[in-house]
Amino acid sequence: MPSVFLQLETNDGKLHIVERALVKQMGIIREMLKLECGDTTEVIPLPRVDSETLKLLLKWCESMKSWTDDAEVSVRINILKRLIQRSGGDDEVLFQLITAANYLQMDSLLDAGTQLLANIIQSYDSAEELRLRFSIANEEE
Amino acid sequence: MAMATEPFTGILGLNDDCLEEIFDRLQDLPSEVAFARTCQRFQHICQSKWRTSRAYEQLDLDKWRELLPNYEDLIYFLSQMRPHIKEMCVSSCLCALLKDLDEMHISELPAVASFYYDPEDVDCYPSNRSIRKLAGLLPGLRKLRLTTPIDGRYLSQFQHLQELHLYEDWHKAYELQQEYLEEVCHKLHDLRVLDIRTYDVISKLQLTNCVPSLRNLTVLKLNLATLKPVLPAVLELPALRQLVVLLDNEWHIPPLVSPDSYDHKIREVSEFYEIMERKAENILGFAVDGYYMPLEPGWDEKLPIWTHRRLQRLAICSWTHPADYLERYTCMTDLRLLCLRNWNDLSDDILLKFVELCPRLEHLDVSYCRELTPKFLTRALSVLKQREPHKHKPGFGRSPPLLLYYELSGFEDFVEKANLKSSPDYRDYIVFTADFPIDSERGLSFVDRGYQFEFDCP
Repeated sequence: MPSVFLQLETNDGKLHIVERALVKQMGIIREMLKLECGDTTEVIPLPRVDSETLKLLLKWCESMKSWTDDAEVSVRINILKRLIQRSGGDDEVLFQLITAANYLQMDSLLDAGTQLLANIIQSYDSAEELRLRFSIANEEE
Repeated sequence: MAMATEPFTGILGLNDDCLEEIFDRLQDLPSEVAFARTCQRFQHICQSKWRTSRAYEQLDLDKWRELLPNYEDLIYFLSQMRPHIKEMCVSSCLCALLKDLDEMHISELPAVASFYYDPEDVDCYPSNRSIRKLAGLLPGLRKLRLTTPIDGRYLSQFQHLQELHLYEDWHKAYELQQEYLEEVCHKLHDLRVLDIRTYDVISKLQLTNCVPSLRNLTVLKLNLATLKPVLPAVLELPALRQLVVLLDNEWHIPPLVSPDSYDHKIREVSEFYEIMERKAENILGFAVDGYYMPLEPGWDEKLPIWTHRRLQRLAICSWTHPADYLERYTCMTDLRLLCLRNWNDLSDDILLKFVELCPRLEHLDVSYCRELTPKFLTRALSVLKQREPHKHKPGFGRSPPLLLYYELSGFEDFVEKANLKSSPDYRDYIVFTADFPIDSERGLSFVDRGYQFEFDCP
């Protein structure tokens, strides 16, 4: 009988005990579990994710649990925005979440994150403004 | 510290997959251009998306101007796409377009393989200077369609040209000059398709000096007047697969004649029969327009093609006599395409014989045949099902379904009302389309005002 909890190890060596049902949203973990036969007490390593990011991802999964069908993207974006604001509101948080969603195969989060970023980009009129916003060096200088 | 292995932070820390997902969600081209101009990395992402998008394969300067109202953005986008544009389809004035591209410093579009000029404003004829500029702009051009009047100077500068289409079925003030036609034939060594028909004059073009240079030609479309003096030489062309002949016609109906009784037949048939004779064993298909060709019952009784029975494609259109002799063609058991548009007297029974006796039939065009009835469809379906009962089951060898062209035929209403296009009963056996076969003219005849032959090459 597979256990209700899984152990995930982030790249800073910390162990996180999480509900199996919660992390089913992570495609990469679903794949790993398919390959295991029966119960496992093995630790699942996540070398490309740190603790802070994993905590945010778990909050996301918690929010998504109540939606049986995928929520509309605008709803998901709002949830994501709130999550980011509560973590300090820095762009870097969004980038970390997008990267993690890509790596962990969390399609609904990837969709919301990249849509949110696309909306931000869309609100600027020129390359110069985008460089300022995202602190990108001007390669022509 | 977040990603131990990532050298970049910030938005540049995102991998290409993520950046592509962002690109896909940008809503308009100006946003994509601003994104691309931000830095090299973003430019690279945008480039690969633009270059594989079908939307930008064809240069449409008017449309791109609308999408990118900012002139600098337009120039940037054009400079990015310049090496990748594959086609041009131009309906505005060519001279103006070339001037615009000049101003944008676009001197070459190296990947353009096909240029199609279809001007909406018929007064905008390209000058010779424009043709010369165009040849410089499109050094790799393979296919050129240019139906406005030109004398042909500088056409030979499209060095890699394989197809030259100069015909449209409308009035043209003048045709090519003889010396430039000869230049085209002598200098364009890759030429495979040549269409020099002229619609409403008796063509003065001559191919006598040209034929020896046309060794690679596979398709030749020309007026009968041009064909007459060189017929034997044309038929000897080693690669020729298709010959389309337009009967020359001066549109002069005598004023005192009633249009209803006026005989439209153009009584020039000797070349038609000569081709049948000389190429009998190589003829894989022929098409003839019964409205203009003086075909009377029995015209095809003694054709040499009966001996060879190699016909794969047959089109006899606008036949006003009884259909009695049509049945003989059922001996052509290799028939793939049968086109009998606009027959007065085509019955279900005779048509069904073709379905029964020509098992390789893939295209059946009975557009404008009003005498056919819906009963033909059920009977044809029954024949096809008996021949291959298990077509819908996987694992059984499947021949392609019969493509049935039914525009304005006697069963058109029935097909529409019974929604046979989506019928599971007919699926896999008969596919209905109110269109015309791809390589035929649209309208009452498979080939307009003339005839066409298809040959195999030994």
